[in-house]
Amino acid sequence: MARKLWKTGTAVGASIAALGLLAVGITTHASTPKATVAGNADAVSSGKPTPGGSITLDTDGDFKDLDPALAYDTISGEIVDQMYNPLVTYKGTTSQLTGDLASSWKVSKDGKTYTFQIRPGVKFWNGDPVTAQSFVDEFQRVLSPSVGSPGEGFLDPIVVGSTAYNKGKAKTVSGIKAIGKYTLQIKLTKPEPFFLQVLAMPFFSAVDQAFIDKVGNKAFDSQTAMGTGPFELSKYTGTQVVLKKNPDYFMKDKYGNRLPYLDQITINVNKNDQVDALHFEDGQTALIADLFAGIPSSVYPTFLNSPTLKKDIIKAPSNATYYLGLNNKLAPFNNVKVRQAVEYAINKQRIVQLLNNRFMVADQPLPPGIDGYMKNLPASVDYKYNPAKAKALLKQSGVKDLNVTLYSENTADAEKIDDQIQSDMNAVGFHVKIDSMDWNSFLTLTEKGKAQAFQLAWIQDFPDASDFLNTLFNSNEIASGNNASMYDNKQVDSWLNEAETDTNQAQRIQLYDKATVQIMKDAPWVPLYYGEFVYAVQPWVHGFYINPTLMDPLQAIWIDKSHQ
Amino acid sequence: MLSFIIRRLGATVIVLFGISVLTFILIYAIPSDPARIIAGQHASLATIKEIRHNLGLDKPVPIQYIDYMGRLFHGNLGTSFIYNEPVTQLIMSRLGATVELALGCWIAELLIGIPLGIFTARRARKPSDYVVSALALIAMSLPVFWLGLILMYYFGFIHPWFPLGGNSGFTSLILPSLTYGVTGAAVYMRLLKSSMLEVMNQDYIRTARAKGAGENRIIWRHALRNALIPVITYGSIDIGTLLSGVILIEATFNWNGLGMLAYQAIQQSDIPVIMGTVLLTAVLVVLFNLLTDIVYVFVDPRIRYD
Repeated sequence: MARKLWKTGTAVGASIAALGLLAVGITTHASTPKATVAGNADAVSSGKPTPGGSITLDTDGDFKDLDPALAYDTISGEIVDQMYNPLVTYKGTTSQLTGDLASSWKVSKDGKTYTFQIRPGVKFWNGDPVTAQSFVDEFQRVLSPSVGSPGEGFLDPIVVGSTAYNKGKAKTVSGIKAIGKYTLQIKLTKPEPFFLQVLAMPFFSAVDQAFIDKVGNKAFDSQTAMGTGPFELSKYTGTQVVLKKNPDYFMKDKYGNRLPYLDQITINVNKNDQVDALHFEDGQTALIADLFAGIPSSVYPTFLNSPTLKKDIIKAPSNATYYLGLNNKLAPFNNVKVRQAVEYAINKQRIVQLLNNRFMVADQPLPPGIDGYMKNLPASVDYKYNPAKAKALLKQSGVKDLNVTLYSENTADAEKIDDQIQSDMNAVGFHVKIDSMDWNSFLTLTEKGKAQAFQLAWIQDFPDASDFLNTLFNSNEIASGNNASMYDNKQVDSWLNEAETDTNQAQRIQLYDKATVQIMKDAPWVPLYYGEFVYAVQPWVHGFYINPTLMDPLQAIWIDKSHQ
Repeated sequence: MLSFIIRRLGATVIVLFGISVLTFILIYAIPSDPARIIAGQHASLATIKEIRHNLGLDKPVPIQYIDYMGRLFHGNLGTSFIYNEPVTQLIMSRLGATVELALGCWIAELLIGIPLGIFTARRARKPSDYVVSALALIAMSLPVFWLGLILMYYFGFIHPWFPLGGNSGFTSLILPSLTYGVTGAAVYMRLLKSSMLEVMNQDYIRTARAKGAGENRIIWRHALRNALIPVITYGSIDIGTLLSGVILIEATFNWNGLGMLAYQAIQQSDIPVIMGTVLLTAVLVVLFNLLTDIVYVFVDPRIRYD
């Protein structure tokens, strides 16, 4: 599931929490001894799994979608992930693909035909069998304009017949067929080397069309669910979700125990991060993880300053890049020397310090976890903080009007970074004005190409360089708003287009390397820092791990308060 | 009285119409696209276009307004863009929590504010009046999120007497009500004090005293009843506002009521929910104003509308 940045509407809660932190100066409740939790992405484990028990989790976001075809934010993703299964998924903490509802698959030599064998005997919670048709139905739903799925663009036009179906010119998608009860065939118009990663997204999960027909699309998104996943929907209100164990879940652990271990998970909407931290500290909640996109900034210092809470923190790199976008079509950033000057002007290390050293300084658009990240960037494009060089470049550019408006979302972190960028840019000769606003207005403005400079992030949909470089720098993505810096370099376009269909991974990486160097030379972005998952896990929660692409592995965790 | 009520209800329809037009215009003045938020940051242009079409956002604004009003006249507030649920259902799911919180906060304000108002009026210009008035001023200046967190930390975490936020029964109502009561009571206290002082100088109070009425009888029977008019006026507006949601209290105490629903809707450009919550607020404020005018008649028999 794509981990999303666009969790909206938390600004009030976060600000309150931040103010509260200053005012209350919350300390540690040290009555419960807590064991050390491994500070890496490996499974947090002790002994054999113990089935049973229930946990409570908080979230500071909202439950928006139950329908896998629509769920595209972190909170909905966390719930949908527990209830549905796609064809393929990722193994443990890695980006290595493994079968989920597909027991095996074959890709034709030309890379255009995918044939999946569906696990026989898997059932939806109501007993209806999962067949190849369960996927055909979901693919058609994703492509159907009446559903309006954000996943539509991942299939159309790459899947044969997808456009015709989407435009209402065909009744079925000719490239997606159930060629047997448990055999699914998907035909592509051209090879797409990352198509399996696309299929691992929850949009493409098995659904029970007969159930959807009975309840209707709206209720399927807002009231009820019918999946194959480890947890069934037991209760759903706008402010609480209760999931109960699916006793017939098809997955087993390495000891042969049927997953999941937990009987029940209760998730409450609690928007005050400060109180959520107290719930965790008090042992009322089991995790602060994906439902918060990590420990919220406002309470992170509390965790760092408490010897007991500090031990509950686990970290893993995330495939996300936070950047300062410079609009190539608007002055003064239509001049490459001015853009390069900004590359040298920003003190990224200081920005990371402002964020409590939670993140890693970025030097290029691709994060280190993505194949194609260049460990040794050529010196000419490996920009280091150098205000003197920035001033010299500005002088060389000959640009006199250096008035800039910097746009961002009005979150506490973004505003902190705004101040640092403003101070750094002003120090070399710019005159920066800050304009921060709600997420929706900000996104609309930047994507229409109206923002001179803006702070934005890209969090992967799937772990492939295409999801970053092609989506964010190809000129054909200007219209969609993804290429918000309006970067347009035909040579880079040609490398990126070639890499989109090249099935030779080594050749693809070479193409992405060339594109990365040229992009950094043209400097449409200042990559600021790479994301990191910073979670808190109770010492009595076992089996938890972080996969950079998937949501929390709630099916794999168990609780055992005697082993901490 | 009946014709007065009918006239006021007629005026309410005009007020609601005005508010609906104004809200609609203001929503469209915000440079944001609800379809973009629904589709997500990574969605294609085609998907955004489809969503915009499905929601009817590709129609001209006046047509969208006429469509909305058409549905409204049939009692349909529309479906939330974000939650895919009928707005009425969303509002109803939060209304109970909001009514509970509003009444809790209001009663706490009255229970603290009215006795203090009477006390300071009776002790006017004495040291105890200065101390209580100063404390009330401090309480009024306290940010509710700060006081709320302090109370929760000490009485929910250090001493777990009350729940740490959330709306789960009567005990969870105490701290938010107390927080709001402490910060809001000062207004009632000051209103009542000045009104009482004015009333205490009236001839009929002097007459009552001359006739040998006891101090308690004078305060409770003669002064307080006449001094309550400004308190009732403020109190009715206060409860009307409280019923439309108390965002800061709701956010501080994780109380999922209408305030947070409205706030989220504004953040996400969820037009049907914004319209629904704004119209509900308008109805509540207008109704409570009407109710106040009716209550005046019972509190002060000199007031007549015929």
